[in-house]
Amino acid sequence: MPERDDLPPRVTLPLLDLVQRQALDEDYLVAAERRAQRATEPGTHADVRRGSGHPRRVAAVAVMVFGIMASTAAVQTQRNASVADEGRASLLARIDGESDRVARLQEQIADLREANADSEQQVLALSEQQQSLTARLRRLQVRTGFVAVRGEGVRVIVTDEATGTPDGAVKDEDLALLVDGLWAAGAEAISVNGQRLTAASAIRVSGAAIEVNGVGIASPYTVLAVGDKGSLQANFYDTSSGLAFNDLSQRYGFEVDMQNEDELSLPSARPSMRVLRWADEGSSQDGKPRKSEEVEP
Amino acid sequence: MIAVLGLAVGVLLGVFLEPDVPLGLEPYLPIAVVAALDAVFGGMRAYLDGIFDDKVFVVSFVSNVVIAAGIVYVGDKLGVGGQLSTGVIVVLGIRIFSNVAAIRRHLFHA
Repeated sequence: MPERDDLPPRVTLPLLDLVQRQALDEDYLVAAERRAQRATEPGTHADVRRGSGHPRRVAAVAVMVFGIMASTAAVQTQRNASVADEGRASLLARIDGESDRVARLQEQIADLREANADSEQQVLALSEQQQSLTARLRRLQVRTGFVAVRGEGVRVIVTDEATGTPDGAVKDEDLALLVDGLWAAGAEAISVNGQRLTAASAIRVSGAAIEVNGVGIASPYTVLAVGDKGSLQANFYDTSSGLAFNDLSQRYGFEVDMQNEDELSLPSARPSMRVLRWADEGSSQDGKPRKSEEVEP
Repeated sequence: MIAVLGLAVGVLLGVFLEPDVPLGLEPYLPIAVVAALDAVFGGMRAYLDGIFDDKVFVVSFVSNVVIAAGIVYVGDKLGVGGQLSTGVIVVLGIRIFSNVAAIRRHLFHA
């Protein structure tokens, strides 16, 4: 404790007390003491006057600098405040605009979602439709000979009578009866001697030879019919055409060999047979001809 | 009197000329003003105490301004500029208040 008394107050005092007590710069006191000392010495009166003479201007200049600084700071703060205000206002405006946009966009999103759902519904319906149309196209292509087909069915081989009498020869009507009977019995595709039958096919006679699709063929006639091999033969003999064909074969004696086959392979019709030259696609939904581009080979 | 005149002239100059402060010094101007305010009040109190000395006043003015701005500058560089300027303002504020209290005692004898 005793040595504490020797220490100067700036060491022993708490900081805040020190700050408060030394609010006035000690230098003023020191300078005043020095001046007082000099004043007591003779011949230094000029020094005392110095305190209130020309040097006062230096203090005035310092005060002026202070004024400039203070007013500059104030002006600047004000200016910055206006700039900040403007910035805030513009930011607020932007926020308003952007949130408007967000609302609009959200509305748009809702609309688009709805449209999406509608479109999906539509896609569903359309793909269903497309499926049914594709199936139908497939069916029609098979029936009309637009594509080569493969499958189980019946092979019928018809041969002229062995003796070669004109009555025993197979006629175009006989073949037509056979083919009609097979169609009626449920055949899905038929070919005669490699000539695929289409809706436009004809079996007719030209001189002595029989023509199918405009191509002459001769005995033996091989008729391939794709269909249910379990029922095709039985059904064939149930149809009137089949019965008539059977009668004719019995009466004139040409040979008929009908056999089930597990695997038949039928070619497609000739390209010239498949082109639609005059028919155009109908506008109604149930129009039977499909787009000719689709069936082009 | 001449000091008051100087203050008026300085304020008018600042208001009408609107001197541009360099952008780098801008953050330190307010703290420098507070430091200068401390020096001015100190000088006023010394004047009323009868021990005013212009040399001491000018030196304390300049050093106050420079040191206050310097401390805040260093604080800014260290990332504690805000806290340091708070500390500087607290200390200067205490000094200003006690100086003003002394001045008040002088003027109103209370």
